[in-house]
Amino acid sequence: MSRSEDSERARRLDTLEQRFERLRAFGSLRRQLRVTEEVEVIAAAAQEFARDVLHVTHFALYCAEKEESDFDLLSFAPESLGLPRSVERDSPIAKALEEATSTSDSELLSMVGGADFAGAPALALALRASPTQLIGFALVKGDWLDTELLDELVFDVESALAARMITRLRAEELAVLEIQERELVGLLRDVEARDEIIQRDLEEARQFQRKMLGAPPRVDGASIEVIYQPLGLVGGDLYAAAIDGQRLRLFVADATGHGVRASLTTMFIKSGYEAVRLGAPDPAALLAALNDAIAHTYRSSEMLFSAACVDIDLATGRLLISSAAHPPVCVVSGGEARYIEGAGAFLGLRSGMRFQTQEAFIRPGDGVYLYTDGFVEARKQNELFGDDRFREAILDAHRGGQRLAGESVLAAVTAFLDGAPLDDDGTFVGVRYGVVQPSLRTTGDLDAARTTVAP
Amino acid sequence: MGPESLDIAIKIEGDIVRARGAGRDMCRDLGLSEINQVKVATAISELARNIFHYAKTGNIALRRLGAPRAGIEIIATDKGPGIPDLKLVLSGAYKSKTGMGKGLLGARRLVDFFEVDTGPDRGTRVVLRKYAR
Repeated sequence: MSRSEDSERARRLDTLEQRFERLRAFGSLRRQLRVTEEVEVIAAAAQEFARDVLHVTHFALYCAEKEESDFDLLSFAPESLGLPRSVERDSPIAKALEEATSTSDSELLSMVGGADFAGAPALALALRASPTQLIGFALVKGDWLDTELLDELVFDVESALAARMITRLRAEELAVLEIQERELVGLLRDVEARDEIIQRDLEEARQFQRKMLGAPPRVDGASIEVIYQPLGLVGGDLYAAAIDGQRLRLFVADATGHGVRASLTTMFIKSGYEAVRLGAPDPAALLAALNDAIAHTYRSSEMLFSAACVDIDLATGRLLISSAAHPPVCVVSGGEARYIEGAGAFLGLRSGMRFQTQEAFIRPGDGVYLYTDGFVEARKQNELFGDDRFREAILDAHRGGQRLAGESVLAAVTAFLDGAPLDDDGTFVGVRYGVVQPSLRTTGDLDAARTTVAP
Repeated sequence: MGPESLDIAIKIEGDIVRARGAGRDMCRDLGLSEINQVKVATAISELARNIFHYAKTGNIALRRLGAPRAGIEIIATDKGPGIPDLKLVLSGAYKSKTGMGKGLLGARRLVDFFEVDTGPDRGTRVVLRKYAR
């Protein structure tokens, strides 16, 4: 064996030993990384790798969680590099970091750009969770080394960091969900508390409105019944019945819309009505005076409403009827029901309007019915209950002689609807003329959702 | 335009809502999107809630950020017992039965910048930032 062969063998042995040493160091590092969960520990391992395996003294490890966040520097050495703790996404450093990781198919070759940023000769090592999301970035300054070794480490560091980040992101997302759930429960409680207050308010408003509407008077020579059924707790319908000597004056009005706003309008209408009621000699005069009062005083409030007013002379059976944009008054006389339509326009828009009074006569046993459009315009799919059915229902109810014609009419409407809901407030005021009113009976007292007042 | 900065002392439970509302107002002034206003407000109430529960009293400071990036900075400070095992809490590996730590973890997810300094001797200081764009 020649000396040259000996020295060659010794040299190769030496090289093998060196490689073995490096692989052993590298192997322990890889094992360490595999069990690592902490980002900081991964950073420390990368630092160790740079120092012990790559034998470099200059390095930095940046970490970015998500697309919109900045880079955070997890570790770097030496201190004299003077790198910023945090690199904002738009800064030149961040751009260099990002470019370095997206320029080439080969991750290591693409690092050349990043290496340039750190100053040549340098090597950069990138860590990614996916092709689109950069989660970590190590920049190592030093000499080129065994590419294969580095590739393996890139893979391990990358996996460890990715697993770590994913755990963290999941935990954060879970925490956010828990927070949101707690917030939602809190909000729901608030809403429920407020809803309770509103319901209580509405209940008080309902009682107030019922008191304002009151029960119809007990009169000799006629029996009066009322059904008042708002869509909600309060409604935009209004009725009044008052006796003044021999004159029974009935009034029904419907403020546009329903609910609280409409119910407030009923207060104004009622107060206007009471103010002009006694001074108006007939229904047309009453509607004109009421219109003037509302339109003049609350011009800008757009209190639009329809109304019908009927005066019944209890001694003679003479009817005076006037209405404004309101469903016709139904008079049942001699076994027939007929509508008496008024020509007036909506009330509350402008003052100075005039209305017509129509005259009719009824005999004992006849009836007069006023109502709002809620029941007449009850709708099942696209079909209206309508004037004709309504008139027939009134006639049937009147002929049937039930004391509560309204209940019977409402039953007909309900049967027609077949489970479909009413979509407006409904009011029905009926008078049977010449029927001696026995003791006044109130069915469904003022505290019920629907008020029915009957003889 | 609202104030440049605002300090809200956290002493009673109602202060949590107050801090939240003030943060949301500032975000609105800054032109943050509705969803980001809610995120910041939620993060603030989580920090304020942590103060109220663990440190009893503390402070939430809100500050407008101008150049280079417009946004809002929230600094929550208290002189409480500090957060033990902060690393574990923030790693998400901490399994809490009481829900402790969830607020901090969630708050971090809701903002762009997050930093905590805590210790038994110095209480806790959390800095959050959310950028307008």
